[in-house]
Amino acid sequence: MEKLKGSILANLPISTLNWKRDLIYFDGPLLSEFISSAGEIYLKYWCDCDDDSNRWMLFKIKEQDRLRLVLGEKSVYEVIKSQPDDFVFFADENIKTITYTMVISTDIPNSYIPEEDSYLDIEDYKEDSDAISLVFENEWEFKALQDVYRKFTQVYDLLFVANKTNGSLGATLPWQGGFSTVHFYNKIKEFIPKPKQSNLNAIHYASPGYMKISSESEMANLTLKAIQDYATNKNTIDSNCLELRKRIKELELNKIPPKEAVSTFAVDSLCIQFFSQLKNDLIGITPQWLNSFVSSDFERCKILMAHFRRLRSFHAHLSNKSVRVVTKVIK
Amino acid sequence: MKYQSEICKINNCPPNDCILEQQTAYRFVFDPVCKKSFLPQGIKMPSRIDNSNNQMKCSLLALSFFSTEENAREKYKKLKRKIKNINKTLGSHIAEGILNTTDGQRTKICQKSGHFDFFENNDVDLVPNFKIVFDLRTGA
Repeated sequence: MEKLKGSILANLPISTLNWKRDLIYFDGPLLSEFISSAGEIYLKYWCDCDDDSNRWMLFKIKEQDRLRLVLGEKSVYEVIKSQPDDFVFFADENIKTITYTMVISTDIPNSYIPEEDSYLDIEDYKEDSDAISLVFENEWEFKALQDVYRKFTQVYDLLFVANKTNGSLGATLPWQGGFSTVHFYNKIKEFIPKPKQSNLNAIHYASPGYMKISSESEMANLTLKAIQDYATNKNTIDSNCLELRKRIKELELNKIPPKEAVSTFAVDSLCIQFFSQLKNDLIGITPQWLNSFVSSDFERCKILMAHFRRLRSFHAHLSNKSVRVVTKVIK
Repeated sequence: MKYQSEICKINNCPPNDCILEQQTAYRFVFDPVCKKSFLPQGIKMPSRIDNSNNQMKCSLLALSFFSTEENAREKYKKLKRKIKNINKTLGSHIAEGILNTTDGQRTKICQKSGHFDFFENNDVDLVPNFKIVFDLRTGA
């Protein structure tokens, strides 16, 4: 092993480190993520061995960098070079002892620094089960970020209610104008038990930024799949929704008395055709659930159209890369 | 099985869906091929595996192989980019050989990476079965 230029320490001067996950693994961990009791994240990077010891490098990483590392946007090289401290720790571990050495960053042996293109693959990442992380750069209006969060949450909320609850909405909304949509999404939140509701857990506003949205893992996963599925079938879904919107406009269903809108929609073959197509196109919401939740096809159609607009809006941020989700579900 | 005393401490190890089948296999080894190249990481370097869960601990008592030389080269290339000294723990060459049904059992081959784990039977010596076919340091 290389001779280290640094100070040998009796102990590691970091409060207890708890293993969180392995980031590079082959015949055992090679790069692992730890969290200190002070909430700081450290990476433990295998860099050398001899006949009886393994040498690891331990260094701090900021969460915004860790998210970009696992997404494959920052390399291991970059996170070592840009780690927040001026020093790293080396741990020479064998079965009986661990020897710690503190080394100034500039004295890290070259053979312990990976290649510049040492990128991880998101496919190998074991995601947090209880939170979805989003990353973004540049200056964002707070309202715009809030909108990103709201759109994600509203997609999640509807999928949660559609898959995890029974019963009906218990109210008839006119679905004419934006108020009904706002009221609908407020109303369905009441169906979700508090611990399963999605919440904004953390936000780092300054660029490079991130936000963490806590959510129930199965439904969060379905939300991501719904977004990915929309992305895959975007052209078909968009064109069907456009036709549906045009037809609703032609029939003035957003202007005539609500009861008349419901009955007109029910007998219009084009409305029914586009609505049936939309039911087939959006994943995670079954016709059975829709039928039991509200009482008319007009309302059902309006719910799906509201869901579609949220998928489209969230996907627009992803497609221009202004926001990325730390997940392997979305390509 | 080899390492039976360690294996029996782990639930479902080897995994129930292991296969008894002859297989041409490729493995990272040191030059010359010797017993050191056929020691599972869980035996060779137990200090590297502190935080492993049961499934990983089981896997670490098996030997890693690839179904093709190309898969092995690809994996090495990716690891080397991230860890310059990877050859010091995994080996510096690829060896090719045949795993017979009398040698042990293997897990299913990963479709994407071609990787599988091989659990050796007791008293099996795989060293004579394997020959170096590629030098990972020089790429020849």
